Amino acid sequence: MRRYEFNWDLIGDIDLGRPNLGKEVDLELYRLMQFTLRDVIEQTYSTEEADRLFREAGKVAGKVFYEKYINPVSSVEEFVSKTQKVLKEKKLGILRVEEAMLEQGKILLTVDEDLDCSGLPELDYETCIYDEGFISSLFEGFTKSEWDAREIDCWCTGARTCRFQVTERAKA
Amino acid sequence: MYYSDDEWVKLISTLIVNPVLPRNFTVDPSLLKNPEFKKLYDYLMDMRSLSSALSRGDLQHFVYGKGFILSNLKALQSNLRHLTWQTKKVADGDFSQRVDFLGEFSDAFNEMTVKLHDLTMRLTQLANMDTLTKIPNRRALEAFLVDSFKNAVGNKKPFSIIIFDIDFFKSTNDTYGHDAGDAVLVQVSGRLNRQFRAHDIFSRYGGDEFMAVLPGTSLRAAEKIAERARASVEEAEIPLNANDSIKVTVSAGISERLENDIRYEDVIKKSDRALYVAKKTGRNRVCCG
Repeated sequence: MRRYEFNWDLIGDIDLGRPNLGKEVDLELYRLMQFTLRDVIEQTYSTEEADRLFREAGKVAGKVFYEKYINPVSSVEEFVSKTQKVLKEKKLGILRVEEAMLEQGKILLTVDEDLDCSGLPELDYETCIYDEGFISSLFEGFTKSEWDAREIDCWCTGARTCRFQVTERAKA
Repeated sequence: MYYSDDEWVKLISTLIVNPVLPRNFTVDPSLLKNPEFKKLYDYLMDMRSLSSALSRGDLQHFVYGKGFILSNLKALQSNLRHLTWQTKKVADGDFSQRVDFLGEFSDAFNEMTVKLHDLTMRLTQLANMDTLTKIPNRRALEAFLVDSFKNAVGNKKPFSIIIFDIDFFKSTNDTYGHDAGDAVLVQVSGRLNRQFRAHDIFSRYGGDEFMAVLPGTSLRAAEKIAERARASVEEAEIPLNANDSIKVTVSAGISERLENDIRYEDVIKKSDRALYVAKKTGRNRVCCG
C-alpha cells in the first residue's frame, strides 16, 4: 500500500488553508526545498541516482500537469501555444520553440527565466534534470509515445536560456 | 615554444579581431596541450564561427562552448530561430504569435500580426457576406451546410432547410426600377433574418431567393418559424423613397432531413419542390416537403 502516490488531492485546498498568505511563495524557498532534497538524495544514494530520481519526479509532474492544464488539445499548434500560455501564467518559464519536427520526433526548445535554474551560479554541468523529465512527459501526454528531453544549454553553464533537445524514443 | 607577452597579445588579437585568419596562421601544437589555453582557443574559435554564421544568416550552426559572449550569441541565435518558427506559424495563418525579445523589432512584428489578423478577419467577412443585403452569401451558406449537415448526421439531430422567394419580384423590378428592387431585397431580408437564432444561418441563395438552415430543428418547428417570417414580411410597408412604399409577400418551402437523405443537396431539393408547390398554390404561403 503506497502512501505518497501523487494525485492533486494531496496538494489540498490552498485557498482554504492560506486565507492570508495565499498561493504565492518566495522562489528562493522553493529552490531551498529542491536543492536540499537533492543534497540529501545524493548523500544517501549517489549523484547519478539523485539525477535519476529528479528526472522521474519531473516525469510524474509533467504527466499530471499535462492532464490538468494542457489536455485536451487537437493539434501541435494548439499544444505548443497552450503550453506556452500555461507555463507563462504559472510563472514556470517562458517557452520558445526553435524547431518543431514532430513527425520526425525532433523538437528543439528553450525555456527562459526557468523556475529551477535561472540565476544560478555558473557550474560545469547542466542542472535542469527535473525539467528534462517534466518536458518529456508533456510530449508523451500529447503524442502518447515515449520522449526524452536533454538539456544542451543551461543558465548555470553560462547560457542566458535553457535549451532542450526533445526526441521521440522510437525515432531517435 | 616560448611566447613573449607581445606574441601572446598578437595571437589573441588575431583570433578575436582578424576577419579572416592569415593563410599561414598556426598555433604551436605544444600550446594546445595546455588545457587552459586549449579552452580559451576553442572558445575563441567557437565565437568566431558562431558570430560568422549569424552574420551570414546561418541559424543552423551550433557550437557547444559555454561562457558569457558565446551564451549571448547563442541567446541571439535561439531568439532568431524561434522568430523563424513564429514567422512560419504566421504564414500558416496563426496570427496569435507575439515577439517580446527583440526590442523595436518586437513592436513592429506584433503590430504586423495584429494588422494581418484584422485584415484577414475583414476580408473573410467580406468574402462571406452579400454586399447588398449584408447577410451571409452563398459561399458562407455552403460552408455552413457542409458542417451542420455532417454534424446532424453524426449526432442524429434534426436538420431543416427553408427556402424563401419574394413573390412577383420581377414585376416589382420592372414597375419601380432596380433601385426599388434592391430596397425590397434589403428590407425583406432584414425582416426574415430577425426570425432566426444565432446558430442558424439565413443567407442570400441567389436573386430574390433566401435560404435558412436550421440545425437541431424539426420540420414542425421550422414551419412555425417560416410562417412567422412570412407574416412579418406581409405586414410590412417597404419604403421605396421618401414618398412611396409598397407591400410584398414571400413564399417558403421547407423540408427536414430524413434517414435516406445522405447529402444536404437532397434536403435542398425537397425544400425547392415545396417552394414550387407554394408558388403554384397561390403564393404568400409556407409549404412543407
